[in-house]
Amino acid sequence: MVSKELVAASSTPLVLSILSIGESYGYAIIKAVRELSEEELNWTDGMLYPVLHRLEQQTFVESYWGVSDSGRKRKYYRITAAGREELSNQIAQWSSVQATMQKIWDQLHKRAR
Amino acid sequence: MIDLDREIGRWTSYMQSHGDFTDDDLEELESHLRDEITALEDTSLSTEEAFLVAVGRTGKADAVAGEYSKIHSRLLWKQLMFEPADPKSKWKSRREIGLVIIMALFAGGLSKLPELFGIHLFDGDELFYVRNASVFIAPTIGCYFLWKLNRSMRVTIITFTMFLITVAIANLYPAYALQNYDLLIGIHQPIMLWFAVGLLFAGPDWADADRWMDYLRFSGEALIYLFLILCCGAVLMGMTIMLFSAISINLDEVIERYIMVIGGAAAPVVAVYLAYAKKNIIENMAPVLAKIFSPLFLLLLCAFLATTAITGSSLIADRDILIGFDLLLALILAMLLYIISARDERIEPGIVDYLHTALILATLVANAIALQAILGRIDEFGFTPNRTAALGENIVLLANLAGGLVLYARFLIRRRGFRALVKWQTLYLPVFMIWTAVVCFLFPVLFG
Repeated sequence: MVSKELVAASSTPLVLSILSIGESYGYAIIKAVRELSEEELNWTDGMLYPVLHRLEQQTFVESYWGVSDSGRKRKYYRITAAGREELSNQIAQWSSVQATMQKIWDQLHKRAR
Repeated sequence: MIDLDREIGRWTSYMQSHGDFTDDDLEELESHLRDEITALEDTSLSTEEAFLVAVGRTGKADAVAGEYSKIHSRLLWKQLMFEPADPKSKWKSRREIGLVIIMALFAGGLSKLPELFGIHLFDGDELFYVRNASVFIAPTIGCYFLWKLNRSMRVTIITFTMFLITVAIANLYPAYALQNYDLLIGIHQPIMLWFAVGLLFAGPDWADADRWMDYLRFSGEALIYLFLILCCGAVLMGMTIMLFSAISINLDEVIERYIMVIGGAAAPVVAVYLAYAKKNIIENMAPVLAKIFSPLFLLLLCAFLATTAITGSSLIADRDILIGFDLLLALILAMLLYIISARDERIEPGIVDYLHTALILATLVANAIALQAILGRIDEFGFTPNRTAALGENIVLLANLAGGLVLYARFLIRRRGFRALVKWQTLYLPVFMIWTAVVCFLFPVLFG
């Protein structure tokens, strides 16, 4: 299970990444994260919406009310140009974090062998 | 099999009471909950299980509200004029604001209409305005509810017939020319028309206690809005006069004759719109004020009773004191109503409840002293319309508070639920209505 702090920190890049593939809505985003992380990244559902709304305030995403296949009202989100910019910024940051860790871990493995 | 819509409705109202969610947020959370439930049902859970699991996954209300408040706290004041995000609702809300402006202007125009027939507010026809003040306003508010709530033809006809009868009687009765009748009707007619509007508000649920409690709550909020609007309006007019007097133009007359009359008639319509449209958005003020002032009033009454007992001074028993005590009773009743309306019925009695009971008791004792003194006077001088009206009010209010006291006490000793108190207050409303009708319609005949 991923810790709460890490879940919170990774929520922005995760949501922006999912939305950069195509527009979506809250429930589908949560489901996608759950499946992609093989249940390791477990969001409390109610926590996603404040994240989405904050991203909307920052103009990284925009929302509109649409209708689902079953005929219910549903709020959809899509990424904006500013959101894509932010995403590439985030990708760069996370990649460098990941690359740094990877290098250290490679050394660890070598030593262990 | 559970009633899913009802459960979800309960859940959303629970969430709503635990944080500052906008309507938009709640709708989104509800749509999420429904998606989750549908998905869970597909994995062969029963609806009830699916509902419980979905609610669990959404998270504890306080925690979720905490997350939302992080992004909302700065927006809290903006929400008062918050526009719905979805374009259809947005258009609807704009249309509503437009309609309210037209209605407010209509009420304002209505109040100037009598001038076409040579009746002028400031040239000796003040009493006409006292008699009809609420008539300029109530039908417009009625129209607003009619538009907003889609009432049946029957309710509409009943309400507007009540308006018409009231107007007709208020203005045709002067044949009897009762002394001070204008003042009496000026006080009682608004209360009666308020009931008529309430009938429209309650609609098909007119026999439902909760609906009338809702109306009471709503009226309290509308009054507070009205007061605020009038205060701001007064400042605006003061500024206008000041600015124009700086360039030696005297606007006193224009302001007094037009802006004040039209604005005064328009303000209640706007207040009603605000109280109705924003009822979910900010915390209700009326119960908060009631809670702050009820202990203070208890102190006042205790001090008054103690002083009377110690000094042994007797009451000056004239009509003004009687009216003063009527006002006191009405005020305490209003406090009680708003405290009742905001109380969670399931909570066990606590210290606050003892305090409220004590407040009612103290009021009743003080009023009994006053009543005793005044009854002696009436014996001496006989019944005049004003004295009878004031006395009648006192008895009607007294009976209500006494009933309230008994039910409250029974609730404290856990013999009766809190519900009985709510029911009593709403069931009592027709008594007020009948009494105001008696004063408006029967008094001129009885005393004519």
